[in-house]
Amino acid sequence: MSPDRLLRWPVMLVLLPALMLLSGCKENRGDPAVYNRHCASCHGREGQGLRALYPALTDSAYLGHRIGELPCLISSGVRGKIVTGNRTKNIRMPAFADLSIQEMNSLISYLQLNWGKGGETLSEQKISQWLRTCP
Amino acid sequence: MLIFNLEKDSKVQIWAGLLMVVLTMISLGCDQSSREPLPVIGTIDIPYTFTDQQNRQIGQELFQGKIYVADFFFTSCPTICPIMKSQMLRIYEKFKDNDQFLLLSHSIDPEHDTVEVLNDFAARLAIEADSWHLVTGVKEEIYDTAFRYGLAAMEDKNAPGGFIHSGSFTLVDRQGKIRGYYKGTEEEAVDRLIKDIGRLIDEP
Repeated sequence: MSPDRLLRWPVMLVLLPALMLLSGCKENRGDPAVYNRHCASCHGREGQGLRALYPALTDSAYLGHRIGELPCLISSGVRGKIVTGNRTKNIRMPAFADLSIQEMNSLISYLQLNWGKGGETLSEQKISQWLRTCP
Repeated sequence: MLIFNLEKDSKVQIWAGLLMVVLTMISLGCDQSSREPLPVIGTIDIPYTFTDQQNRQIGQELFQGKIYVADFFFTSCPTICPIMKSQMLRIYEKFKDNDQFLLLSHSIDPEHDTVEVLNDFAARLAIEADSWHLVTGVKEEIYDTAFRYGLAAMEDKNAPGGFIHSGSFTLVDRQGKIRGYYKGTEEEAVDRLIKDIGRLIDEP
């Protein structure tokens, strides 16, 4: 075997598992466009928040059993106290009233896929239904 | 596959040689620039007094003989401020115990950002008031101060949050001279700022 051919083996051995890993990583994390445009500057690209100033999204009841309240929370904003789990937080979040139903659906799906606890399957119909119940 | 082809040994050597030359040039270039002092861009002269989150009067005399970084923000800012503040926190964590160094953030929405609001903001960020002053004051004086720091700030009802302002940080030395501007929204720029603060600390 020529040295040229001998060298091809290690290259293949490195490339193959790398390709396998890459294809395995391609899980569906949703479309980050709306999140990155409107939310990431405060809540962080990874939903990590900023100390006690902007809450992390990684452990939120609004991405669990209270997900139905989330569209209203996003479109009306928050000014004052909100209760999540057994904690009360004083929050000021701007209203994002201009998001379309499609954008809202895409955003909440992204939040749920990345930091949610699964469960509820979302749709534009469901989002508009929830938005009609806003206080 | 050039690199793995032993028959083209000489080409590999040429490429490796070129790479070495480029790397040497880059490293020499870096050495050169870090030996030169930072440029002097301007002199700070602020004739106003502002009020910080602890309700203390803050004038320019507090910064005499100190190296500091100044910026402009507002607490309800929905766009670049949160990123600026998370970058400013990196600087704070690095130098908070250095008594030669201070941070100064001016609110450009002083009507909303009262001492109480700034105090709450500081508490949520868990920052010490002696190392990082968040100040409020007369709006026109704050806007003029931004201009004196070489940064832009103005009201604009059409902008998100109602204000437009620069996302940059201004670095000021012990003699009150401006020594650099850094994009407060970019991690790499703030890495450079952290290095430059170290260089000013080492200046006699």
